[in-house]
Amino acid sequence: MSAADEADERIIADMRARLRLRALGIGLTAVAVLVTMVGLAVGAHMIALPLRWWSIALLTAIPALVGLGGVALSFRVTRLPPEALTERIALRDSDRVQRILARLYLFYPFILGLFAFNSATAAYRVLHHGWRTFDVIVSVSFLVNMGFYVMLLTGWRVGGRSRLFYQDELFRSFRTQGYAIGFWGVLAGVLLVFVLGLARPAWAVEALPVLIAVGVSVPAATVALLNRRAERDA
Amino acid sequence: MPDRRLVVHLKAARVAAGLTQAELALKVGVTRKTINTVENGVFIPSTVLALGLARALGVTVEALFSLAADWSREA
Repeated sequence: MSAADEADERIIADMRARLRLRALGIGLTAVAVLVTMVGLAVGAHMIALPLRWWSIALLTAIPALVGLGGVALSFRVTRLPPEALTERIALRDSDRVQRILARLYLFYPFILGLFAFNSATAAYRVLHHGWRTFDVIVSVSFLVNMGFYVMLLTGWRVGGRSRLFYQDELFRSFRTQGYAIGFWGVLAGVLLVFVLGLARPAWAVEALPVLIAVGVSVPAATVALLNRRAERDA
Repeated sequence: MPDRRLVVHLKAARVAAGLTQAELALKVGVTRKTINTVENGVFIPSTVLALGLARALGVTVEALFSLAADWSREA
């Protein structure tokens, strides 16, 4: 191993340590956001906070600020040294990062499904028991999770070395195939919602989060499976 | 699944140039897996990537890829 290779390996090891710390920071931020949301919802319920535009905005803004602050702090504390952001370093580590991304693509739909189920049950309570702050927040929180999923799948707003993997030709090809198959998943979901809506409109609203989650999970699962097949065939 | 219409000579050209998959990937700016799947015919690269591979190895694109004799019948 040359001196340049050894230097690269040291930088990669340092990057891995920083990224592990960053993942921990983001995980703790997620817990903090969840605790804040539950705390605010319980508090709002206890003091019978009226459901107005300002109260919804306030109850949404506080967890959002906690989340943004936590993520920003995690990135600030663990920011990578400039020499670690070169294409050379990123590509050396590409196999491992692509494997992690593929695993995330395979397992994230399950997380999305849990949030969707939670959102669907909250939507049921909103439809049958009226607009209560906690139920509205739980129901809408699905959208935040969906936004994260879209960022993960499309690489939107992804910078630094991760951008290389989203721009990689093979990975782009996998995603294109994933979107093409995903179209049918979303179409099937929307048609099912339409049929449910004809039978009973409330069912359509209740089923919508789960069907959206199933529909949009198809591209991610497709990418993960194509990646696995490429590893097998190669 | 490999595409039988294309015959790929990339591996031979890369080995002749004395490069590993990772080294060629670094030269072209793609991941090692992309090189690996191109070599095995699992992934057909774009024209831009094919030209980039040829330039990195100092050969023509035709030296890296050719059409199978019966390609039009399978197309």
